Amino acid sequence: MAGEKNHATRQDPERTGPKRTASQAGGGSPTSAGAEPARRAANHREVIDQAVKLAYGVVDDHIAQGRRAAERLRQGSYSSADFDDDLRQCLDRALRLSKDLGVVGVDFLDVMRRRAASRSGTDPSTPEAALEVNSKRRRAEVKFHIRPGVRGFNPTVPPIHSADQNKAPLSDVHFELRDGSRPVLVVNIPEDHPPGVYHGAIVDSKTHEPQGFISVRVIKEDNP
Amino acid sequence: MGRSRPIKVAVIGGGCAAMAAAFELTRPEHKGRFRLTVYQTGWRLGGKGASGRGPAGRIEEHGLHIWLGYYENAFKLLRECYNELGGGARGGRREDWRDAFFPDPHIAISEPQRSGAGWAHLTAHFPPADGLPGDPPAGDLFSLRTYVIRSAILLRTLLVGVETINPSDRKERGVDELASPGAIVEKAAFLLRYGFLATAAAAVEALAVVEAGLKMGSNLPAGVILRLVEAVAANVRARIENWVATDDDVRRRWEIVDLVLAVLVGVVRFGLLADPRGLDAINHFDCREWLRLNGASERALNSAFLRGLYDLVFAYEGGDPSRPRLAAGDALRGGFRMFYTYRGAFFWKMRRGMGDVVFAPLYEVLRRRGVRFKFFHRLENVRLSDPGAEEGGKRAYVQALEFSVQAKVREGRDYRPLIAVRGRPCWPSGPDYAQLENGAALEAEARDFESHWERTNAGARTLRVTRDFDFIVLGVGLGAIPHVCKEFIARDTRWRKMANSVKTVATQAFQLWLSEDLQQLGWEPPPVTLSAFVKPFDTWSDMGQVVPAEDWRRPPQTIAYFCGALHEPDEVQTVGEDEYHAASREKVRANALAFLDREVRHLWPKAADAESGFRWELLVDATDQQSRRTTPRRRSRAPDQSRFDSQFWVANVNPTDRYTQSIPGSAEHRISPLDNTYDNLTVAGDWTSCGLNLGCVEAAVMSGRLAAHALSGSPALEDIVGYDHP
Repeated sequence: MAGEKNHATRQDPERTGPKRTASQAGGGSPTSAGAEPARRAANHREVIDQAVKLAYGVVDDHIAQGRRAAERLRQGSYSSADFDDDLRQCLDRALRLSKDLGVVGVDFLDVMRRRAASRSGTDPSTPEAALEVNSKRRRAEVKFHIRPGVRGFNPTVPPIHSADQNKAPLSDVHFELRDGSRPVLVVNIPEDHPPGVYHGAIVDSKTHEPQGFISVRVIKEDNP
Repeated sequence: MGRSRPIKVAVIGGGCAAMAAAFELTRPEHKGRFRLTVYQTGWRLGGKGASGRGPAGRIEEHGLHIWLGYYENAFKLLRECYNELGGGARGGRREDWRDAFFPDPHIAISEPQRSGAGWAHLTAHFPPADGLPGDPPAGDLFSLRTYVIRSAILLRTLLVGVETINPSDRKERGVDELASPGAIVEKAAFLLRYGFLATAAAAVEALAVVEAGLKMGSNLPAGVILRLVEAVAANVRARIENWVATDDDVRRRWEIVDLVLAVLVGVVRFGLLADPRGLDAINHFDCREWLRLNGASERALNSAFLRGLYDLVFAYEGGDPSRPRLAAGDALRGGFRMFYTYRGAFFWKMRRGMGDVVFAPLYEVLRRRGVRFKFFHRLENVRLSDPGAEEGGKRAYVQALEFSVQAKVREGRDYRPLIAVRGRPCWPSGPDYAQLENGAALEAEARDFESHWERTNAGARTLRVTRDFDFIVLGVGLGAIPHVCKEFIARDTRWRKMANSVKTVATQAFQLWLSEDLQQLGWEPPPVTLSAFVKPFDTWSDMGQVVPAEDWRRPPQTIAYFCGALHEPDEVQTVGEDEYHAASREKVRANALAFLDREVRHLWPKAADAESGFRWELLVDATDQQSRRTTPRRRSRAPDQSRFDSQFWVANVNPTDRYTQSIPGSAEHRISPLDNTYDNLTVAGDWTSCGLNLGCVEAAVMSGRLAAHALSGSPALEDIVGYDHP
């Protein structure tokens, strides 16, 4: 039909599909390229800061919960022999996992934060300390961390405990200033101290606020 | 193209997509450039969102319709419609959109008890979110980076907000008693377990957040990061897996953590943060399959959470519960939008039927704007141009539209479709025969104008290009495409693949009007929308809020809507087998009776018991209300199952009533409204490539807005909220 030849047609659209890239916002124009890197860096650091705080906060809470539970158990005059298998395994798993995840996770977060901070040109603020382990018949794997951004506090390490109440805590763990300014974490382990995992907090001696944590795995010298 | 006359647009269908397209094309800023005529089967608009009014003005719906707080385009459309309508609704009662919707923060899922006796129901309260749906977009809402970060926040909310409702649990959990050594040990163990879990969750959250940060610009090898994440995830899972099996509360919380873990691992492993295809890159996987690949445990994969997700979108191929299929990318996209971008409230429930709240206002606004409506017009065929006309590089086009005229309106007038119930415009559950030629005879026949298999007609009508239309918005349901677009499917490989790949599923639903309220029925928590319950009616929503909108002399205490997928034969029934619809209805009735007798007691313990079954006297019969009696009629015998016949149920087996699914591997075959292969036709519906690609109101409205853009260049694609989305 004659009318059909001149039928209305529509124009081709600018595109026929959505933009699916991961950073594409829905609604509104994309931001300029110049603004993007600075905003990304800020978000990155904020995100990691929050994640580190999260991790520290929950590890601290976990330690406190464990101590409260342990205290209740002590008041009830329970020895580890009275615990059922589940509870003993629970305590052991909890502390080991806290150490593993806390250390690994927070380690990782700290490293990433330093990398992120160095990429954005700012100075990382994580203080560093050397480590010294003293023991005649024991080896030790020590991990410790202090919250980034914390400066000028006087760290102290209260006795650090094992999940097993029968094992005495490690009490001789402290910070020293060597050569006037270099901090060193000194871990002294009695030669007959029971092997195991010991876990505790690094505390500001003035405010008593936890500012980090420490984990020590004590290994018998003749073990691989 | 110079044009002295308006462009004539034939809009076929009356659902959300077609109405959204019509609303966009008739905006005042177009200055009358488009003249629209809507062609609709039967007597009412709405498509799958249609509702009617039955005896006692009771609302009778196609199914359960609840809007989600992320339906930005749908709420924008609706709010603009209500603004334009102002106080002009029939009856002169001004109504704001917030009079028609109310926020609902509660959602519940169900899981079978481990003991095998009964079900436990978990309710969650989602806190209010800033803003209201349909407000102007607020910043960079839709990035995978944002979703990954918010995963940590949501995880905490879920861990805090989940509460198990289980009568035996409620009795056991009481005041913290430390009077006995056993209680002390148990409490300490619980604290340590929860602390342990929280530590693991927080550490995982932190790692996942770092993941997102790294992907934004880290120069670390991705393999290193992935191994670390996987090592942590494996470590956590190995330690917790056996432990959580002994503690239901920890287990449920861990299932959520497990699923979120798998999502985050998968986002990294599949490189989705950098893939230009975004979440479409994993659409060939089933959602469960993809989560399993990324380390989710079988326990989490079979959890109520995941079952609830599948139930929400009827993700069972052929309606068969043993064939759950949901494209992973579409599932994640919908999940992220649902959980992370809702505004105001998680759910928004309507205070009347969807037809009353959405389609009546739209109809009135569009009429005011000059849109014409042709009811009782069923599309039979979309005729394409002859291939010879496409020589010389010209595109194919639609030459004609062929309709059956189901009934004719007296004196050639326009059919007036709305009625008033309690002063509000509504759609009736059947046509107004008084307006139709041979109306009395039609009424006596009880012809079902909405049935695909009802083919008795009053006439036929063919619309021709240029004479009767310039452009077409094909807004029919996907199920109609094989019937009305045969030429497209025969000539066009893409349409053939679409018709074969993009699936629909029949659904079943029933509504109960009850003489007792939820507490009397034995449901003690707040009114909820609940999913993951027993098949076939895995979803229940309390809809007591619509009682005041109905017209009862003795109102029921509450209303319950149940729905689920309907398992049916693989072959869709063809025209002529008109007994199929009736047989399907009978099947749904039988399913509902069995469900009420055997299963509903797990929701409403006082409504039924294992020995005597459902208390049929709970059901309120609307016919009782139509007499002048002030008390219910005394019946000669105790109510039995036949009382159910006074309620309302549907078998949505009509091709156009079927729910659009998101089957793995199907999204790539969807056709976009922007596709210009046929240069005077665009498509609109939740079955099109609309950005969201899920069966829902929001996808339909997005598609309608895209269709309008295809014809007019407006709205801008960037203004279709969520269209550009990872």
